[in-house]
Amino acid sequence: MKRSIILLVTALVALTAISCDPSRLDIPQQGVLSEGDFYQTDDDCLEALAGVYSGILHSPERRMYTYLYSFLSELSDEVYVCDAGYAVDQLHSYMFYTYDPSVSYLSRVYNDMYAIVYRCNLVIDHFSEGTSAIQRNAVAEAKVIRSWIYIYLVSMFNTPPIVDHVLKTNDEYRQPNSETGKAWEWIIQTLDEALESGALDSKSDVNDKTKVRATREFALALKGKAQVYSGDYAGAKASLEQVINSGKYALIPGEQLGDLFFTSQGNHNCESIFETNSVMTNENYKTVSTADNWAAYTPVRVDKFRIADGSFLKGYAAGWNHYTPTDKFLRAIIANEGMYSNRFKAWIYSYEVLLDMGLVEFSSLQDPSRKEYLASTSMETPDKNCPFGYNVDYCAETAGFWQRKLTVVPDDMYNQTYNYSKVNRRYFRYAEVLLLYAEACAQLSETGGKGLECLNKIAERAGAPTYSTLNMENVKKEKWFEMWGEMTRYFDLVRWGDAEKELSDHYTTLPVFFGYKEGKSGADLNEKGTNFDQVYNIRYFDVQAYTGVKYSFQKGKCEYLPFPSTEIANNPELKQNPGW
Amino acid sequence: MKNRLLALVLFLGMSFPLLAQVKISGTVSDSTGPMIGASVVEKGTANGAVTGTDGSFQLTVKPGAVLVVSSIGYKEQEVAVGDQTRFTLFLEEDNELLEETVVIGYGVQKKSDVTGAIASVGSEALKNRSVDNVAAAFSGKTSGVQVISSSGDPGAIGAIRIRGISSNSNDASDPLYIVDGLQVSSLSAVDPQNVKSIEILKDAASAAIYGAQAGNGVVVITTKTGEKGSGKVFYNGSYTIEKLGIHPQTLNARQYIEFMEGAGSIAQSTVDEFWDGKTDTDWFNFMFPGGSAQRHTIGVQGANERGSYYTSLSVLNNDGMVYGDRDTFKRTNFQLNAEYKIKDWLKVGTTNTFQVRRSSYNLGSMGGNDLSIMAAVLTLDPLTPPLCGGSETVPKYMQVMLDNGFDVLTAPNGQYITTSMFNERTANPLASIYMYRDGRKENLNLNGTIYANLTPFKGFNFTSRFGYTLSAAETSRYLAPYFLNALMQSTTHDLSDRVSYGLGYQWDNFLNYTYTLAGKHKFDVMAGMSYLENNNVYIEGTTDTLKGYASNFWFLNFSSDDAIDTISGTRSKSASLSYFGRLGYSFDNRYFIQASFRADAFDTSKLSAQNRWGYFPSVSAGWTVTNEPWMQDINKDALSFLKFRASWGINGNISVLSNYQYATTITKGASNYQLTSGVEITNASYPGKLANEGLSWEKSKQFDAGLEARFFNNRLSTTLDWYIKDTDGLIVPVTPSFITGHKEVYMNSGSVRNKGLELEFSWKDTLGDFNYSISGNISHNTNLVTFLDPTLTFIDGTRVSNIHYATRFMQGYPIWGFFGLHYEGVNDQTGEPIFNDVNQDNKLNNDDMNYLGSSQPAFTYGITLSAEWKGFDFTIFGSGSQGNKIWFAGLRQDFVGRNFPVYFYEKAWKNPGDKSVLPAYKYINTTALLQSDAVLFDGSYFRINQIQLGYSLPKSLLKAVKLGEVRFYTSLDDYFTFTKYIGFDPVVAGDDAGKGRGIDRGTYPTAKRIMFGLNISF
Repeated sequence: MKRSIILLVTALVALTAISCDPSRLDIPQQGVLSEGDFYQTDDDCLEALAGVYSGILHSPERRMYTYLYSFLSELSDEVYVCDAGYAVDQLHSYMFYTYDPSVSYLSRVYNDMYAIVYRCNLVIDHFSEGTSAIQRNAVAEAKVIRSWIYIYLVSMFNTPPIVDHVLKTNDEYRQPNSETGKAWEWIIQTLDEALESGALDSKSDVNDKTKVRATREFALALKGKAQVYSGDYAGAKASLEQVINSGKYALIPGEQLGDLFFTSQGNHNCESIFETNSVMTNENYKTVSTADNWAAYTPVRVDKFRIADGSFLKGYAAGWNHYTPTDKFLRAIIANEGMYSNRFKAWIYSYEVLLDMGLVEFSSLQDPSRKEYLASTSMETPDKNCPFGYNVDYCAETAGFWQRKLTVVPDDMYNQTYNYSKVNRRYFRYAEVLLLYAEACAQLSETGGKGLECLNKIAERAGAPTYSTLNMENVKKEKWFEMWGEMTRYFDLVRWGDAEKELSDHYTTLPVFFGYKEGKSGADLNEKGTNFDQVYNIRYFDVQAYTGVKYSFQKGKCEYLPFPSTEIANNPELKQNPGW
Repeated sequence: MKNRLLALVLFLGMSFPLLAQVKISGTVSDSTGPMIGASVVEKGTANGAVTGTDGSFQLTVKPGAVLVVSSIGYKEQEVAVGDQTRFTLFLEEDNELLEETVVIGYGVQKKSDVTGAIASVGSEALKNRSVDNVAAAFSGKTSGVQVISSSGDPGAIGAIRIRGISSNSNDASDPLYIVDGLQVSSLSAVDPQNVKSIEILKDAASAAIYGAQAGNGVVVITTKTGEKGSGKVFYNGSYTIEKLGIHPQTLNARQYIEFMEGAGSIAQSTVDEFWDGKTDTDWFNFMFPGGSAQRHTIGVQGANERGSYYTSLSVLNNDGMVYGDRDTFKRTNFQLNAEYKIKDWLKVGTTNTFQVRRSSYNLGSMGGNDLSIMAAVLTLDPLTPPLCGGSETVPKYMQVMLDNGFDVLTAPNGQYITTSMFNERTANPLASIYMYRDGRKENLNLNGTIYANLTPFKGFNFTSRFGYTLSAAETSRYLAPYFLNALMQSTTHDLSDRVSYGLGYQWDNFLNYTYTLAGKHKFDVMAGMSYLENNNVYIEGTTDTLKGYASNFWFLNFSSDDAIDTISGTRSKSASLSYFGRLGYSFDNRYFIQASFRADAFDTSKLSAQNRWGYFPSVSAGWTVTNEPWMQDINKDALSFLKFRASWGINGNISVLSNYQYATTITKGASNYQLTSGVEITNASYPGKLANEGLSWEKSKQFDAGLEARFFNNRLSTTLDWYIKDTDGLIVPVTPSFITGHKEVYMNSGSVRNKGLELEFSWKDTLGDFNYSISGNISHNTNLVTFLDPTLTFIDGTRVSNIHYATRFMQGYPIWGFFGLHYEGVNDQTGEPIFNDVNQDNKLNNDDMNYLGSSQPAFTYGITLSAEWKGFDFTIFGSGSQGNKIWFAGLRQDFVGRNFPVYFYEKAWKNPGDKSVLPAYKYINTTALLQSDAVLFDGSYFRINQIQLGYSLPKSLLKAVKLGEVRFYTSLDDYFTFTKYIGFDPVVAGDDAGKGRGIDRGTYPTAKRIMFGLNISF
């Protein structure tokens, strides 16, 4: 019995022996810091600031630029979206104004923008008392970036909630709409704070490529833009003048426009005021690239060409969809400056240019059905069934012209993979400053002087006719041609009150391109190419006849984007925009 | 039973001479003939004998003695000696269920005392099956348990779901696996042949002793131990031929052309141009020529009064049924179990499993994407020949590719792998195989326990058990550049190798004490603790350029100097600490009550130090009506046994928590930026998420009521269970307002209710030489999401056709119910489809989605019939599922020219006035139709899993050659399936066992098998 008791005791000791040490359960997390330990040093500050910029480059939803582009360019009269293999209905829904607050790209853009605002606020909140130059500079830059994002937010949503600090509690997570006027005031005031801090860097001269972050001139340009957008033209003039007078920016020479503006060679070119920054090497390209698949949205989809003689074309075709200039834009710009101006050549590929450049070439394969099809159908009859069995979603909507501007060429991709583009995303360039300045002057009823000079600088560089007088009509026209596809047109049309007039029915028919007309070739184009529709085999597809739905811009509703439906659901303080 | 063993033990342990008074002799036999090794003992003494090879014994006993004759597995018999000196004794086999014990957490219990819902599967159910994993082996054998396979790939293991699905998290619905007391993460290391019994703890009270990890039930596996008697050597071997089980009919060349032209997808001229006019490929026949498997197991086992041993070595070699040798699975298992009683109060033992698994790159895992071979078999057009070149003509378009210098992929025999001209987004399945020049997975596992039992005094048993798990794995693959066409090509090399190892240990200490007061009051106490720790390490590297491309360069070592290499790896650890106890009381074998409690703490990767403890109580009770005194007069031949029981308890589910979800931390270098114009990179650091410090585990509360009854002298037995299980605190990604800067915060804000009914029955009887039994089970479960955070309307599940989320997690509907447009039929004049436009706005969009059904069956069932007659044995076993839906996801509206089941052709509208099921050809491969229940099918099936006929040579014959057992058998496994489903295999259809369940994009189907086997022992 004694032995039994000893055993029992031993057993119980063994049972409890191990139990005393719950510290065995404390396992530190790898690769993270506690919030309290961070935000102390200059290095922490730079890492927090890198969070801001990486938010622009690798936004949480990865494709802020891509999604913004798809919205803002399609909502205006700039581009058709074609062959969207991915989310086809959504991309087309912007073009046709059939989208609703639940579309995913909308909430993604909204989420991305507020994520960047949040990261700006982390820098501002934690380092506004900072004394070192690095910390003061970081706070000023964060304020500039936050203001820049808010210019988009206010332009898109009109009354986005103002978030000027890191939100901490559940109650704070619910913020009401802002008032548009006050939002503009706050944006301008924040930019002033950044400017007055004296902490912003500035380029040394026009050729300085080392200032890759938000500069003093970027802040001034944004201030001017915000002032123009909010109707303070005199203020805008003063702000923008400072950028112009700094002498640190210049237009790219016209003949280099296509080579520099949207290639990696032109990263941080003399015209660029703000762009993302990636210096890629073979070792780092996967982590520093935008990886936003932008290149996949803009290739020339050779595989979707329908060539009249039935030939296939070979060439660069990887990607999901592509954008092409609208018929309306094409005809307007060709009427203005022809198909051979510096600007046109830089912005747009025409069919013969593609062939000349060898970007596409004919293969020996043929699909005779294409030829048969064309022979069997009269040219101008709207065809309810798109040719060759492809349904309407997959038509190559183009009149024989493709977007070159912003299209990433294979040479600018690592391993020719469209994930890894070497081209920095250019968000703000000097041409826009000149055009905003010209607009401010025109709005102040100036008809000549510096405003006209700025406008003509743009036209001259483009190789287009210059203007003899400054007025809003000329500013509007030039800005349309120059800033095509750069996400300003839609905001401009709304600001100018032109949206309803310009956007009501431009997508009723879509062009489909079939190569040259029988017996014609590029040699038949006249000096300016204005007779392209006599040479190109273009047929018009009646979208509204096909779908039976009338697509249109609706006044009082389509001026602003709706707040994403998830946001309306999750923020009870937020009121939806009118009409949505 | 205990007394009998004790008698045997005592007898064998003593060998001093006795005073001879009466000399007796005799034979012991059973229904098959003389018995070897039966014990004959003089009652109340240690005096006894063991029968020899001819069943005879001799013994000297006191006058008037009583003989106790026994053998394991037989009913004990007592015979008064009297004047008789020569005895012919007959032992009856013991089919008495009452004697069975079941393994419960940290102890065993007599089956008749059990108050919870525990299903038991014995080794008989697993014997001689062609399936190579335990989960598949017990699928259909018991109620309330479903094994969901997403692949029939050799070596693939299904997911086990006990009493429905209770979590929205895909990985978090697995039960807890305990093998010989050791907690393991999967059952892959268990060879079904080594399994003695499987207990499934279904209700909360049974499982609550495992606390925070038992919310999805517990599967307790006990491996074999040596059986008492003389040692035995055994060999089991089988050879299996595998063939494609279900061959779905897809369009042949003629039908395909008619359909595609009719739909306007492919022009007549294109067909004329690119089709040779005769190719009509049946991709199923081509890709599934069949496979084979062989398995050999050899082992020894034995036991005596002090110790026991069981050891076996098993090899399995399976080349699956897909073309070529890229679906192979090889496994070697070694099991060693031993136990020894060193002192009367000390017993030590060990269980060990060592396993090596090797498989080729898992083809099944490639399901779902456009290059998946299983999807391709279903969707590639019949106009394309699989191979060309060599003796076959090269189609013109392939010649163009070759002429243009494209590096066209070739098969090992040198022929070109043809790419379709009609279906430019679907890769030839051969291409998907051979673009991977190399791919393999290798796993090593060593799992085991060492334990000591201390029994210092009667009724007291203290166990200290140390368990270990050691695993090592390597996965490597090499994807070479390939060119199929402009859309399907890659110019990069991709070689990757991942090596990992894991070391875990578990230390359990617990005591059991049983005390009986006044013969009627029985108390059971159990208390213990457990500590568990797992350490894992992995390192992975990839490269994109090699110094050479011959097969002996396919290693990371030969990455060239300018290659882009990546490396990743980490070391991780998890740990938990638990205390638990159980208290049982029974009165007179009539009333039973049991309560248990467990406290669990988990490491800081799952819960914060303040929040780490969780407490899990349970209580259960039983009433054996037939043991009531007032029931003793009833006819036991009619009602032999009747018990009511009920239980309630709380369990947790910890597997939803991992990776410090609760913590607010700065993620360092989650991305980066170049803040200067140089290449220098600055890490971008910011809070990675909106943290929720209060995050906790899921909790399940379950109530179970059961009834066990046996009739007709125990020949008919039934068990009926009803349960209701509420799981709360499901972790859902709640979307905060985006202005917080974050888009997700994880919250315990969802609930699911599973409710069901389970019935099991068996009938056993003997008609002369003919023994037969029928057993079956049927389970019904309904599942409903009862709460979801109000900020979420629903959570999207799995996407089909690249645009539509076909499953949703939504309040008021079953977990991951199917949602889509409701297809109402065809306009019989135009052939246009009609859909239910819910809000009548003439637009079909997300607002028009209806609940369409669930992938979860209303009923699952299994039935086994077995019979024996003069050495012949016959088993037929089938299982089925009723009421589950399958979404046929093999089509994509944006991919032109995909082939599909002939159903879509035959049922399509053709002429005005047709009363057809489906619309005209051109409306079939369209966004609306593919988002609708026009592609949702009844996935009910009944499969005959086993039809086995065996013959055992007569023992009398075997005795002459000193063999114990020789049995030949042949079996048709998974051979017949009854289903209306149009796709591949309704049993394995689905991406996974959770949100993608029932979404069929083409997965590796189950093979039907013909098996020949041999069992020998001596």
